[in-house]
Amino acid sequence: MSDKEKREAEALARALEGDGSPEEIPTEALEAAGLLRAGREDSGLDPARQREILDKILPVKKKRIPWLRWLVPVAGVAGVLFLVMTVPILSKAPQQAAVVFPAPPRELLMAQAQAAREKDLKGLEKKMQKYRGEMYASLAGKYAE
Amino acid sequence: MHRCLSILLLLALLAPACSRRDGSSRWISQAREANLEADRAIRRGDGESARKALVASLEQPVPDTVNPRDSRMVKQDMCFRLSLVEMEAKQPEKALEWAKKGLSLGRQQDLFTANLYVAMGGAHEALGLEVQAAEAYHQALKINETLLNQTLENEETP
Repeated sequence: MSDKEKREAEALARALEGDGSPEEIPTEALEAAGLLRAGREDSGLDPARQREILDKILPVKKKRIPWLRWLVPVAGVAGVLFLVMTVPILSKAPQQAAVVFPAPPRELLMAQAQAAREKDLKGLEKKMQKYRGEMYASLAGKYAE
Repeated sequence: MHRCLSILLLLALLAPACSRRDGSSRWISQAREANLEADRAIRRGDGESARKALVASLEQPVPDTVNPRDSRMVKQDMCFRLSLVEMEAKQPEKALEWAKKGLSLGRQQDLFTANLYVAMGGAHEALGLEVQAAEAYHQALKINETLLNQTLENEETP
């Protein structure tokens, strides 16, 4: 640190402490000390004056409605609750279109006719088993989509 | 706060969609499983277990998202099977009840309705009700003829 810088630092310290006459302290040091003092909490500004200044520079603050700050979250929660209750009702509509089952094969229909004419229910059920498998495969494919 | 609300909103929208899909596919799966269980029971000659599996499945509520036509066919097929199980157990009255129950779900020109008429004819016949049996078989054959014609037409179409 040069001698000049040392002198300036000492002058700033004196200015901060309030020592010495203003004539002895360089202008730059006085300005810097003023700014630093004003920034301190114990700057001595009257609280009433502080509020007055604050009201002047922040006019919007005056107009704030206390309950308004709760309105946004409360409205948000109410909206979500409304959706939770109404979405299941509204989304009930989309019913699946009926599944197009494979056409019954000729052998199955022949077995059905035979069951009606010759009372061969077991023969019909035997043929139905294969068709039933295809039917459930179609259903499972459709309803899993 | 905003992040929490976004997550809640997303859950609210997704939850019903998931449950909807799960409900219908679960219903189909349980019906399929009941049929497979009935197959196994019948193979080992256990009609009682077959009956229980099918009845339990029939009692399951059908989700709204399942098309009524699909649920009718599934239920009618189960009623047909239950009718056969009762016939096998020499219980034609019960067999007739199941056939009637199946037909009460709706009568269409399809395989399942025709099967129920066949089962009804068999039950009537076992009960000595020849006229009613003939009527039921006749209904079955009428539907069968329509279906057979459709199948033959489809086979002829290249």
